[in-house]
Amino acid sequence: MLERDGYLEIEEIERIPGFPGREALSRKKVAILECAQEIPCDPCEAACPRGAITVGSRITNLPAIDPERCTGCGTCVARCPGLAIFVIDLTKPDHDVVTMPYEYLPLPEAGQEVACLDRRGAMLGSGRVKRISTAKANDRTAVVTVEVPKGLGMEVRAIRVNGRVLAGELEGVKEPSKEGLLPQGPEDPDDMLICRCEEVTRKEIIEAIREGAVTVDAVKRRTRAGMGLCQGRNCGKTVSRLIAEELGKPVSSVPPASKRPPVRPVKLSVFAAGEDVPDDDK
Amino acid sequence: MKRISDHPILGPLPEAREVWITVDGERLQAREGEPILAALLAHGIHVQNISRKKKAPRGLFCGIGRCTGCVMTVDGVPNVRTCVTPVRDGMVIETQEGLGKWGDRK
Amino acid sequence: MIDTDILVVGAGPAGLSAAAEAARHGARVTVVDENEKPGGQLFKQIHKFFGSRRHRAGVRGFDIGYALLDEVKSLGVEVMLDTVCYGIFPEGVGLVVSGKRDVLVEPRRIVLATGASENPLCFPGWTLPGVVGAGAVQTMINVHRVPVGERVLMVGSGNVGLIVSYQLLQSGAQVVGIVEALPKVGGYGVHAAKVRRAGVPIYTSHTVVSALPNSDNTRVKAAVIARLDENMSPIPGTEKELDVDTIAIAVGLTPMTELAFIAGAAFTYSGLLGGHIPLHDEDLMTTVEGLYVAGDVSGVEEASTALEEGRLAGVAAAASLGKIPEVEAEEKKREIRESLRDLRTGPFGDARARAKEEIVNEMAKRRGKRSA
Ligand SMILES: Cc1cc2nc3c(=O)[nH]c(=O)nc-3n(C[C@H](O)[C@H](O)[C@H](O)COP(=O)(O)OP(=O)(O)OC[C@H]3O[C@@H](n4cnc5c(N)ncnc54)[C@H](O)[C@@H]3O)c2cc1C
Ligand code: SF4
Ligand code: SF4
Ligand code: FES
Repeated sequence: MLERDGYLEIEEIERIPGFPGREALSRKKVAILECAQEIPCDPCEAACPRGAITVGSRITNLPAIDPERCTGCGTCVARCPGLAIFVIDLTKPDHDVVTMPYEYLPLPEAGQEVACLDRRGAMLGSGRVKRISTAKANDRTAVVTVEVPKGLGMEVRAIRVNGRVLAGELEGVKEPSKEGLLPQGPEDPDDMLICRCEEVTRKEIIEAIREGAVTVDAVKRRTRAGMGLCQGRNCGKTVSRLIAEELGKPVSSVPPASKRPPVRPVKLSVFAAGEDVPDDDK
Repeated sequence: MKRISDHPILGPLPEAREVWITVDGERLQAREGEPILAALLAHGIHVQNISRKKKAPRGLFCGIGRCTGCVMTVDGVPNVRTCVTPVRDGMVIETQEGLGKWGDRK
Repeated sequence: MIDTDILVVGAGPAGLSAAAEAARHGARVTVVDENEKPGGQLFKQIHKFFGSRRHRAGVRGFDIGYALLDEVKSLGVEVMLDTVCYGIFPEGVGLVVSGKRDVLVEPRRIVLATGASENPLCFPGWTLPGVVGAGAVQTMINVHRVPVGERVLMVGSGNVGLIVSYQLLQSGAQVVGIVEALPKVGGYGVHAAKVRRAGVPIYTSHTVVSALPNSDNTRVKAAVIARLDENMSPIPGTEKELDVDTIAIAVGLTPMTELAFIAGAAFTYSGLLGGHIPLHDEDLMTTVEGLYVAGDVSGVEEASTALEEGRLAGVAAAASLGKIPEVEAEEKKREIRESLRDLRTGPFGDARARAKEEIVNEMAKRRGKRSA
């Protein structure tokens, strides 16, 4: 499922207006727009020279494909910033053909054998590159046309060239330890630093809050958290969250830390004579 | 040396004049104009300083001069944010201990 | 002393488009940015952007940055890089140029477009070298072209986490997985689909429980992740240890509002938009007369909304200086607000639209009270 797993299932694709329909797919080469969320985006509409793609007046509308107008020319493939458009041809007797955007190195060559991957990156078999276009108009998105095994035209959405693995795969992943305990780092979570500059721990901050320091500024005065060179930019938000948690109140009720100029560390020599390490505590 | 020498979008790494810096006594090659930290990462150096209280190694965190994770002593000046300070030929760079000390300006 | 009508702090999409809009109407505009490169977030973004064609969707982030910069320069805007704005005081705005020269500016209007900064995440081991912000990863791999590590765990599945994971793959690193505390992927499905089909697992309802160090404590050696129950507590027995040398953190952004705070602006809170946010009206003016906010600093959203907010603040600031006839200015503002409303629709935008509206309403109430 797109929302949970980050990829579309076939059933999800069949429901969106970017799907040209089974009937069209059975008789012609056609574009499929795997764009299923109402996001503010519309370059595909202008990309198609045949007017086969419509987004309409509201920019967040889902793009729709008109399979009758689409000639499968592939112009739209490199124009979609979401790399969500493919052209597929399921009409050939002995293989299917998929045209896809490709933005990695090495680029494959025509005739080269490549590994075919599905929407989850799982290996499906091998295919052969029919054509690769690196036209200037594509602005560095290569468009690769691959012959894939018959029946896989709706599945193959990526290729692997020269065996180059992109993701970490699942090697190097160790499953739960037998005792079911969290493999602890060398650190106790209470000793975890909240303020990295002044090295103030979670425990110290919680103690300060319990002793009545209930604003980011008060915690800062008591523990020095936020007094370092980064001026609290790193820990401020975490400190407000800890305060909110301790007090059982929403984070919005914790006032923002007060800020004093200069908002960046500036060598004091810029303002006056003498040289020193900047410190907003002055 | 680790560089992203070719890139599908950015193309081949452009030519740059080479400069030499000294890092903890070792002479290393860098590209003119790049931040000190980029040169260090290209040489696989990931520790920039040792924290004051816990004596823990620290390095790149924000990459834009805001967190001070990457500070080192450069030409005798402590607390230089190496992610936003360009290399210069002949620069002397040292891993900083704690808040560092002012050294002899070279 | 720098003499200018409008000072814009931040040269990201919001700041640059505010500058362009104001300059187009004849205002003298100066933009300052602490970086040596203009463009803000855009310069790290090598992917094609979303948005409407009008917001240059389909164009890669850094190319949008170059285009904006050309536009601003052709309009005669002065862009001062390597210039930090360190405070806004009654006597003027303080700038430090190239870490050396202290300059005071007395602009007639100020637009703050300072963007947002990344949120950290604390877990045992988070201060080890190898635990880094996703933004730092992006800067190193895309701008400086050096790898931060070979095997990476990404924490957070919002658009930033998904896009940086994709960019890691493009740079030649391996992404071992993406963990997400919530039961669903936070960012856009199309971004998730890109990394999924490359084989990157997304562990929803999971978090990182600790970073394990190597033997001399100088680098991350592994990450331990675990499944979360409904109360967001790790479930014992569900841990997995992943061999990684890098843990990248992408758990949201917080508006960088220090300057508004120092200037005395009143604040409100919106968790959805990133935390404490300067109260502002429909023109993006804060409670401090003549001080405007635009882009991520007024609530974390996207480049497309940042561009439009920048335009809005630019028009409003120029109009308040009498540079645009009132009727024309109102017409322009209406058109920009409409486009902003359009961008804030759909399952991701609706909630942001409401949160933004609440801020404007709160501001109106406050003004009503004061004038009553
Ligand atoms: C990984 C990632 C991917 C993204 N992808 C997309 C996408 O596909 N589509 C989309 O629409 N959006 C995307 N965004 C979001 C978009 O980049 C931001 O919303 C947008 O850049 C915000 O613009 P801004 O001008 O408000 O801030 P920024 O771009 O952050 O610019 C702010 C500038 O102000 C400067 N500054 C801050 N404080 C000071 C000071 N005191 N003195 C001087 N200068 C200062 C900063 O250095 C910075 O240059 C993405 C963001 C990230 C991190
Ligand atoms: S494949 Fe060609 S004709 Fe079909 S939608 Fe894309 S651009 Fe239009
Ligand atoms: S361009 Fe791509 S991501 Fe954008 S609406 Fe069209 S199909 Fe969807
Ligand atoms: S890494 Fe944060 S200041 Fe350099």
